[in-house]
Amino acid sequence: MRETKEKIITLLREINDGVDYAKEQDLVDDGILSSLEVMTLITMIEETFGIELQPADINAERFASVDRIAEMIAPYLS
Amino acid sequence: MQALTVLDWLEAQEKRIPEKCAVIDPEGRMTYAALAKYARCVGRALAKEDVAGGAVAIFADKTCHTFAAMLGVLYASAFYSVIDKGHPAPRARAMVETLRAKVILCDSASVEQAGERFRDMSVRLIDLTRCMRDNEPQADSRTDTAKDSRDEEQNDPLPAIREALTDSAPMYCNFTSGSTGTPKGVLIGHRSVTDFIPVFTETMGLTEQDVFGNQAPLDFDVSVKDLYSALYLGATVALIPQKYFMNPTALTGFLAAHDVSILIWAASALVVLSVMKGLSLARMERLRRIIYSGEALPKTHRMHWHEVYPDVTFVNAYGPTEITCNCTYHVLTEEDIPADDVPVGIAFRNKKVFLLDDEDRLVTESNRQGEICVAGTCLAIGYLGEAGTEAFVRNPVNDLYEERIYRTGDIGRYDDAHRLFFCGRRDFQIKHMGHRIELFEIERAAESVEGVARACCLYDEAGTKIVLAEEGVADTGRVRSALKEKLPRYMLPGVIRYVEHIPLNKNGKADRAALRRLTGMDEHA
Repeated sequence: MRETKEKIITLLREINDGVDYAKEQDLVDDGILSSLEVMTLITMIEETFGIELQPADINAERFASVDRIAEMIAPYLS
Repeated sequence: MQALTVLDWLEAQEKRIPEKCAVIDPEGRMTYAALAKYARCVGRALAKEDVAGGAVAIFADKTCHTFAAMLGVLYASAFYSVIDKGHPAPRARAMVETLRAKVILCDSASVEQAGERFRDMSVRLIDLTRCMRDNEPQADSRTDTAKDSRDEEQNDPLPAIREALTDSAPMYCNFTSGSTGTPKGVLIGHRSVTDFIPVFTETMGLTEQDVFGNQAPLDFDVSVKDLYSALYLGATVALIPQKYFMNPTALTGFLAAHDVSILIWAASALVVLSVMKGLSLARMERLRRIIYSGEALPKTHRMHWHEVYPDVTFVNAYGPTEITCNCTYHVLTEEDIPADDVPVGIAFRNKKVFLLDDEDRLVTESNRQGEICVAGTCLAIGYLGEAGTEAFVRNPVNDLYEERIYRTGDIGRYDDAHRLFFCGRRDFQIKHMGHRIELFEIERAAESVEGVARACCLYDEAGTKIVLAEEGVADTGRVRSALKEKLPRYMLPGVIRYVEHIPLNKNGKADRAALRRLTGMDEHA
């Protein structure tokens, strides 16, 4: 899980550096990630982890924090 | 008689189809009768504020009531400007100052935020929700419309105000990024809209039976096509909240539930929905036409949408805000779907579109580039204040009389079939996430951050990322936080790089090519 989170933070930094991602709890509502950036992140997650996210999993709440993103992709990795 | 303003269309539909649904949002809907009635409520409230001829700012969410408020501003013979609630305070305040707005209309969800944001400004906040509720039609008004309209007519100030209005007066003001570092207000007149919308709806084959799924925010002129095409035709517009674009299940559910048949969207929004896998969710059974603009729709996404909706017609539309929505269009053929480049096509009726080369000579032959220029009723009145007037000039190839044209700053070329293709910009303006951005504006904002000595902004086309290089502040996190207070989100650089010295060329200007190498961006990207 910790490794997953670190990978996610690396991806997020590529999109937008200079944010303390480990701390932020509302990436979408606080305006840190735009819809276009969420979109970029989806593609990057799929490429990095070699998974394909299901449409039902894609919504703003699941991208709120690094923890939430890690929780979302955990079932795909097991 | 020809319509002078969109209010003529509103009232024609109010008479013809009062009970038809005009506008839908997730919270409710409004019939044409209700829309007109609410608009007049707002108009009367504004009539007391002496706003005719001037600006009224609107600070509210995208709802049915906000559309009614926009029309209400027109009833008061003022022009509206919608201020995005997400803008940083200094930017929102600068807009209201540039507009010299005396009144800001807010809904009850925004009134508190507005009070804070516009504190100490000599501007009056009017709570839209309360203003409409106080003037709400009686519950039995449907069965006693005669009495209702008698009440409305008593001491009504609106007819006299309306009588004095001409179609050369401004209708709305949309702000766009300015190279001087402050946003520019583009002022569009009534005539430009009443001229374009009938041409647009006819050319695009839109009808009264259509339901428009409105994606664009109300401070973007893409939404002008949704709202006023619906009003002109007596069709219905479904307003999609911005946050649905982060939640494809809600978005596609909303579109399918309301039988949306037409999407007039920014190309970037189509991309968002396809990447977020929205195309495999609820299907829009009635969808028949997608009109996209703002930038090119990448081939892979064109093919994906076409695969899911093979019977839908795709139209690529082009044009900056200054010429009222779009000036050219191209209906995609089967061959265009997998093509590398799709033309922006041919001019809409009553819009003159032509190319001028570097020597200001007309380009008529194919495959030679020139600046795209536009003339006609569609031209904006101009910019608020005096910013950027060099774009509206006398046509250099017409020495017979003074013909006003707009130089778009976009570069185009014709193919052998005389279809126009977009080939990029001639300056430092970019298109990022559907927004027009002057890189200068970001540089000026960065240079106003304490400690930053010099800043230079680059656009990484491949990664669709704005890269800012600055000298003076090693802590780029501090620069980022400061920029957040000054710029809207879509203008925030994705990467901020501290450099000891920004390389200069012999004219003392930032050497962008050298900087690209220094920041590790491909020189030829």
